[in-house]
Amino acid sequence: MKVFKLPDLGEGLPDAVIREWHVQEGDSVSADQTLVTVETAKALVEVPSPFSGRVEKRYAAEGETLETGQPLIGFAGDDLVSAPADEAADEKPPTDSGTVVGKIEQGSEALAVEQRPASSRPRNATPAIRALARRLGVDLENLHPAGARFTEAEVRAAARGETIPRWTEKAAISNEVATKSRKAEEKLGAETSPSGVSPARRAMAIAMSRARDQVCPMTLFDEVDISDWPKGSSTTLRLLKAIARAAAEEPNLNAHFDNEALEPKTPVNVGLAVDAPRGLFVPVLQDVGAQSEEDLLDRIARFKQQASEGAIPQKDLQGATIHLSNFGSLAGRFATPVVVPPLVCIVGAGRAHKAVLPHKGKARVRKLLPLSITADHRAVTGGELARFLKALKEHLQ
Amino acid sequence: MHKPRLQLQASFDIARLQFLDKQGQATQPLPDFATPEWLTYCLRQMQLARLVDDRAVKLQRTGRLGTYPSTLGQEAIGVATGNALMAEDIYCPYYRETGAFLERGVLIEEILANWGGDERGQNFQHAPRDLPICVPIATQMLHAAGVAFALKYRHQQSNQPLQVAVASSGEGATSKGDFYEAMNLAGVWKLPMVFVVNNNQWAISVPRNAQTATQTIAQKAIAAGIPALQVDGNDIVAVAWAVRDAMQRARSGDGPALIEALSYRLCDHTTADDASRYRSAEELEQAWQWEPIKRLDTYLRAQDLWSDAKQQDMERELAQIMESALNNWESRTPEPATAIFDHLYAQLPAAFYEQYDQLRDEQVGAERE
Amino acid sequence: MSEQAQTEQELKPITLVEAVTQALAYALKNDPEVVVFGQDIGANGGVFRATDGLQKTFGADRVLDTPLAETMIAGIAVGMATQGLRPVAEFQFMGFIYPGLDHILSHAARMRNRTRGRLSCPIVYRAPYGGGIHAPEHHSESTEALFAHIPGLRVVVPSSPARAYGLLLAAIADPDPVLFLEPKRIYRAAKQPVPDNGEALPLDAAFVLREGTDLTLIAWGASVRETLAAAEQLASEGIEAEVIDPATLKPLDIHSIIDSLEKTRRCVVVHEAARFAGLGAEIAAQIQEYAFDLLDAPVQRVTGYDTVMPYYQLENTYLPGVERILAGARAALGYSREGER
Repeated sequence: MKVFKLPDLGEGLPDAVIREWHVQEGDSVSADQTLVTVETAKALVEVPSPFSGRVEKRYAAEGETLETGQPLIGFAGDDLVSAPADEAADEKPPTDSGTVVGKIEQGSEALAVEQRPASSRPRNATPAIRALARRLGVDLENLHPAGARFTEAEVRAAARGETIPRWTEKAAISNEVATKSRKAEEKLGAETSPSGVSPARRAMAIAMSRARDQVCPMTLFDEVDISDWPKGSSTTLRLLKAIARAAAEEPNLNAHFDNEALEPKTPVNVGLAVDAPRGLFVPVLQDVGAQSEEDLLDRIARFKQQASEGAIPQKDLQGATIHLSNFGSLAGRFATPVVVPPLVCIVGAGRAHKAVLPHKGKARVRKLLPLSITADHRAVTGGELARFLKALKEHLQ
Repeated sequence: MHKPRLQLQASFDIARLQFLDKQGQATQPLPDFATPEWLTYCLRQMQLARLVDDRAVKLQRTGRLGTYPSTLGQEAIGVATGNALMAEDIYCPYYRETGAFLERGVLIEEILANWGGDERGQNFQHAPRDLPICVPIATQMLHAAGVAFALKYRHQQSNQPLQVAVASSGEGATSKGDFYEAMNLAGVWKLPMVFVVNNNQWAISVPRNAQTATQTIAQKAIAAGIPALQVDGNDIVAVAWAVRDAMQRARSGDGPALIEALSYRLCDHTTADDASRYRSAEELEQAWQWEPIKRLDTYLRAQDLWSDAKQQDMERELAQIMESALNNWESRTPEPATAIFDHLYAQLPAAFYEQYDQLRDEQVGAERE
Repeated sequence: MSEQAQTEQELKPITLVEAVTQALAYALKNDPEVVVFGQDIGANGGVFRATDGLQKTFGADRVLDTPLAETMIAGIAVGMATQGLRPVAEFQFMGFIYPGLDHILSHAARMRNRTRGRLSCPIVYRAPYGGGIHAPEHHSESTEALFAHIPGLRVVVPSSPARAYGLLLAAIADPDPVLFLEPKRIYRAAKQPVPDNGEALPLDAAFVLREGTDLTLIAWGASVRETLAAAEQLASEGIEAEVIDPATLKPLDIHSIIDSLEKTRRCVVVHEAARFAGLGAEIAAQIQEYAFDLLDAPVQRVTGYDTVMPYYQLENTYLPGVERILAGARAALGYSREGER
């Protein structure tokens, strides 16, 4: 017996309901004669006979649901004109085939949520430069290109153990510094580059050279009477909060200066200079005005820990809008701290000391905190700097 | 601002030809070639074409054939055109060509092979120089112009009788650059060719009035400086007369002509199309009334040249032809996979031996399993 | 080329474009099925004079001026060829071949396969190609890679008068369609004696233009000239480069290239066509497939930039000249896995 299965009636429909048989078992049918009407999810479909023959068996009753591919009807052996068909359908397409030629597969595969392409991070070296670096054994991961991308010259210089700062040769680290830092690194067992200089120092050299070449610094010096601070106050903390408030009053000091345009920033993100064996790190405390004192102290402690291990995450080194250097925690009264573009201001705090000063008409011992604030005079006026200093003093007392 | 005086340079007329009207009545004396034998022969051929199309569509619906373009309702154009060519003339088809193919000796099994995914169907045993089915729209018209040039060249260089190339297309093709370029060249080089355009009113879902701004398709020939005629495409006598006349003139060295045959596409564009998406059932029903087989049948019966008995006899005969062709088609052994290399060049270049060997090894491996 | 000069036993040297004319004349004379057509090729003899004098000699029935329609030129060649003629169709510049791409790709290259050998297209499509002649926009195209990708088509590029003659004759005689690209920059750059003896050169075979053992330089078309000059420069430094011209870009004679690499182990591919998906990529891919272990350096590509061919003021910066070829050569020669020499 030749068994004819329920064909795919279009669009991968899974099954159909037998609505009405038009032939009985034992009937002789001719090719294309309608055998049965079935109902799919979309339409009523008449299924024609694939060939001429005698019906031997009907496999499903009216009202029954039959899956696509299941036996539908069986024909007795010999009077078949053509080979059994795999599928059948009615005279017109029951549904929109969604194409004008051929057949588009209707699949049921469900795709997972799309992933973003892997390489969405910006690349700072072309394939050719990466190949060169690989061949020369230069690890680009720990280096910073002077410009947007590593050049061949930079890679070759790195291979030779040099750094090539962008604008001048003088900024190359002097042998003395290199030797000293190399010794310090060796003592601490720190990783260094082939030249013996840590990446942090190399970055500092490059950044300071750029600062020297671009910035027009002006520094104002003053001292703040901090005699009335409660015992155990954190100087750094009070400075942070005072900077936030002073910046609110003189926003041009909490700004970026780039391409001759001054752009005041909010909020106040203070880059805090942290001294570490590997060099200078400047982690950023975001939005110091809004943070609680506990949070700030926590974060500062964490940064110091990370700095001593040489592992401050890159994201925490970015986004500063103003710098603070509390060098006074070590030593020194006044300084000319360096403004690093694109920032326009750095607040330096020296070591607090006692002095005898007139206070309400009498000679008194008062505690003083020295301040040295440098601003970039390309962007900031003397008046703006002075007012910022005044506000800072007010909020510190 | 007053209109300046102009001097008329050129004007044109487009005429339409009909012998049998929609009701199957002769509107003028039939031409000499329209003998009873010829007319009944044409009825038979149109019915055979319709039968082939019908079975092919059913084969597609049962998954045994790929996409198929039927000629339902347009059989007169193909049969009359194919019939008008002599054996040595060259036919340059598009793809909706059942009647013409049968007239040219293309086998039913060759037609089925083509739409059944087997290039051997284009290797026409009995029409060795005709061009194959052409899918890229209107490109066959430039090929036909090249063929016509070759025919003219042969005639000039070696004194062979001048043969004619016939290019066939739908009306959608007349929007294409190839069509204009072919007509233009045919006109200026006076090529022995005839353009037959089956204007069945639909280019997939685009109706005739969205295809072009011209009132008739025929008048596009005026732009190329060649003569044109519009005919009732469902009147087999009119189509036959027009094509024969144009071929005769081309054969005498008078150059090309364009014939626009008006009909209606009673079927979908192909089996993968669903025309109910873009045209109304009423329009379709109306068009059935002036279809070509019914028209000729009515005429013949009125002349006592046809009857139910004769119709049944013929249907039996055609059914047998169809079954025999189906058998032949189904009993073909499929080509081996390496067939894709066999006619890539006259001789496969060494640069491709590796790929060929790889495919052959895969095939042998697959056969063993 | 007149018979007279040859019988005098002293062949007048001819340019590449004259060699084309010579070959066309030979074919027209000896094969009555050959027909030559295109825009301005008859009375005018072609805008580069490639068909100079042919219409006069062979008549306007066989050497025809067509109306202005590149699609038509490509399409009628197909029809003619199916009926047994051998059409040689000219596109005035490769920049104007694109309207004909449909017929080249969809029909000429497929007719034999489509009809299982019943019909075929023994066509030659000719076009001047490449930059370097100070021409306006679109007259300096070098897109041979597009055509090399088409199955069933041959792409042939001569680089000397003798090879132009021999390869064009081969192309005309070949039973399958050939795109014959004539490097217009060297149409008249050099002269060479080319006997008009009807001898075809083999298709699908590369030409070794200079032997060497230190480096393989692969180039075709007008770039061959600069590549040979670079080879001379290298020779003066004691480096002997082997110069190979594939001539038939598709199907490619990779065997000759690998034979050369067995000696040299380093190679440079030169083409003026744009870099990405240019034929240098196909050659490099095949080299690394078949000869990875032979290589001592990655395959260098010296190519046009991946930009639009500039207007002529910047043309010479775009086209790879001797300096860029030498740089590629030095990169190949200087490469070592452990580091730089």
